[in-house]
Amino acid sequence: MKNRIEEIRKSKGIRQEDFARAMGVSRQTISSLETGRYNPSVFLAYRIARYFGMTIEEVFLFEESEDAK
Amino acid sequence: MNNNRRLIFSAVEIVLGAALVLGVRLTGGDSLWLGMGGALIAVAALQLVFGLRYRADADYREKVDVEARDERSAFLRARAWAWAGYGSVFVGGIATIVFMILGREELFTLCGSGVCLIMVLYWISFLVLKKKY
Repeated sequence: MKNRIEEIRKSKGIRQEDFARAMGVSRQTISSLETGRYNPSVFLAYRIARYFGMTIEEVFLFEESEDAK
Repeated sequence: MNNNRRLIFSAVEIVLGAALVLGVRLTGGDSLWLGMGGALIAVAALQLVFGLRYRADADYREKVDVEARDERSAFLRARAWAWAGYGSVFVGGIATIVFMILGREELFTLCGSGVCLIMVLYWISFLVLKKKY
């Protein structure tokens, strides 16, 4: 699943370390999320979206084809 | 287990290890127990060092706490256990076949039973998890 975490985080001038601390996860997790290597749980996705003041759909881009994977 | 309990547990392990080493030295017992005692002391000493660092160093404590509740780490741990399970079945299966060909009946039975045990545990775990989720 693609996401706009890196783009939104950078536009707000937030460092990965600070973002990770706010989300209660490691910096490596944020890095993996941004590169799309790891998909977050619904809870983390919700926390991230809420932190940015957005909806989950605005941050995470669901593609129909991924459903079959 | 909280950190204080872990520290106490490590200290008890060191005492037990030392008692084991001392007991073997005094009675001239099996060197296997000497090795086990030494290993127990080494592992407990490492745990103690990490535990004391956790207590004294706030940055380290935060890092350990984040790592413990980090969902990606939990996912990776679960994946690593799954891979270890697949690996055990694969290696055990090959070993069973090799020992069967070599006519080593005891080892063949041991490896075969091990693989069967893992498969049984897998199915029990699957059924329990199926009920739970």
